[in-house]
Amino acid sequence: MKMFDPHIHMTSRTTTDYAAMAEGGITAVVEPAFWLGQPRTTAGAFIDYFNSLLGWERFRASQFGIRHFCTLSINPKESNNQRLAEEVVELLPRFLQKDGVVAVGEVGFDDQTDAEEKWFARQVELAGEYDLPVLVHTPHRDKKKGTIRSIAVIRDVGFPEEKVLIDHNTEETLPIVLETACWAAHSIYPNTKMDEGRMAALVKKYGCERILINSAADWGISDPLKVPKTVQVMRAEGIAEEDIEKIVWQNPVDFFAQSGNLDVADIDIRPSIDQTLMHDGNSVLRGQTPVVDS
Amino acid sequence: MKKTLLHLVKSRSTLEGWDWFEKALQATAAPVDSNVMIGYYTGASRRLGKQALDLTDAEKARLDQLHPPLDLTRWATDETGRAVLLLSLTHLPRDDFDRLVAEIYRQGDSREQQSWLRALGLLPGCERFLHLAVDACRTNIIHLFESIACENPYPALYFPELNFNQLVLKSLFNGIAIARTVDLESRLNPELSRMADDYVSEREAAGREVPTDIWLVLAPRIVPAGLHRVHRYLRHENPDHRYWAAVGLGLSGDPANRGPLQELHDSESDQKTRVAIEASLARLP
Ligand SMILES: [Zn+2]
Repeated sequence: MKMFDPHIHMTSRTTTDYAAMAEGGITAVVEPAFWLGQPRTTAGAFIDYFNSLLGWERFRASQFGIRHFCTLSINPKESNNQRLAEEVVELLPRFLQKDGVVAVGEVGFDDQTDAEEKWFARQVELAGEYDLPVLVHTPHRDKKKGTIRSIAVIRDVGFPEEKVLIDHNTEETLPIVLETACWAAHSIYPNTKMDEGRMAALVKKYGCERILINSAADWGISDPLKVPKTVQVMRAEGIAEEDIEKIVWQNPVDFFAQSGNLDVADIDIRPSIDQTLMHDGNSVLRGQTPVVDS
Repeated sequence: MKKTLLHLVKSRSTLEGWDWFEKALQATAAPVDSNVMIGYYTGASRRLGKQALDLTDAEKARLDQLHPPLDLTRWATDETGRAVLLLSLTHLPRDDFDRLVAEIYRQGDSREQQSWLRALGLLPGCERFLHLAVDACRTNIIHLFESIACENPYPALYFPELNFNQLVLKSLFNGIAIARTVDLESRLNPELSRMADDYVSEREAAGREVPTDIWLVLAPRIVPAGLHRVHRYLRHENPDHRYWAAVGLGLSGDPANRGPLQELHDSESDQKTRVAIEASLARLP
């Protein structure tokens, strides 16, 4: 079964992770721009970050037969730095038009401040102007209220709900999202958010329409193999194969194809690996024999 | 206060360390070179050492007499030295002082920022650094978060309600005891109780454990419809839930909570919880 991890921060992961993901069946990923654990203080840091998502990281993924797409934005946490937010949002349009950008995101709420709401709404507007979908991060704290407020922001802007993916859902927020036309993603984490068993229970209860799962793996305690692991649990729970495939492949493809930056015919074919390729003279190899698909 | 802190630094430094610190203090005199000053602020860990102050009873007694009293239980020698350096810069014109103090924070590593946050409330005009203190709460580095959220009077004194509530929720999320939040009682509010109540719902729906001390902020200002859940946890098999639910209800000011507390008291086997129930009954009208 082909699998898509529609939310994973590969810049914080190793090549061993890439190899294991490819082995586990993942052939495409979306990496949302987020915060790096340490606050950035200049817009230049964002330019470098966006470029590394669009360049080096995409290349690194390709070396393992994985297609890498990204979503760009200033994240909710750092949008509280007004001056920084202003500068980053100003330079965002030129990045949104680049190859491989499949949405604006992660945007949304963290502490649910006025500043966060302002930059969330502004970036949803930008998505409208550049005809891109939006990936919404829902907050860890006060999640239910944050989810309801996020939907209100989308509606206030008048952005089409079917182009919105609301992420990190729980038992309590999923029914709220499904009442709208937005899509609902779930981050399967080792200790927080959602686990495999609970996810299978949600699929049994709510079906597979507009439902996605991801690992949201980053620099924290997380597991880049959570998508294949959840597939196994869903199977063991007797969920139909075509429903599972819809959740881990067709839904993310359909959602991000709305960007016009994800070629549906193309993505069906596993990209061939040629580890002899170099990105600006850098190879991911450190003395190993390159793998080349024949 | 600066004198007390200075004395603590001296009594815990080596001869070379103290020599170095005297030079650092000289550098705080006008004209102050920002780069040099930031360098001294950083150098404190190496020169003065990171060992805990480990206060004697006499020192604790002296600190308790200060206004406001200073809780240095978790402070180390380098942090105390850094606080003295900041307090020695107050002669600067206000704008220069603000700029330099903010720069010391921004360029600090996490231990320097921790020292800065712990000392923040001691600085004149410390409310002007509110945005940095609020921003510090966004960190995922737990010891850094604790340095503002715990044993620190600053948040209760200066944080707006939204930021204060987020700080408490973040402590609960990270398993940090919220009893460590200074003057929590003075900042209880219905929105915080509502947020805590929603968090319990979320945890219950996910089949996960609820932090036992959450009742400390949930029970006091919860809407009447939410009270029956507190009463349910008041009979929970885990005595920690019973204890904190009893403490929280004691802060509610609502005489309707006397009945459930009295009822529990008659059957309570846990000594600590019995004492808490009695204290709460004594508080309630
Ligand atoms: Zn993320």
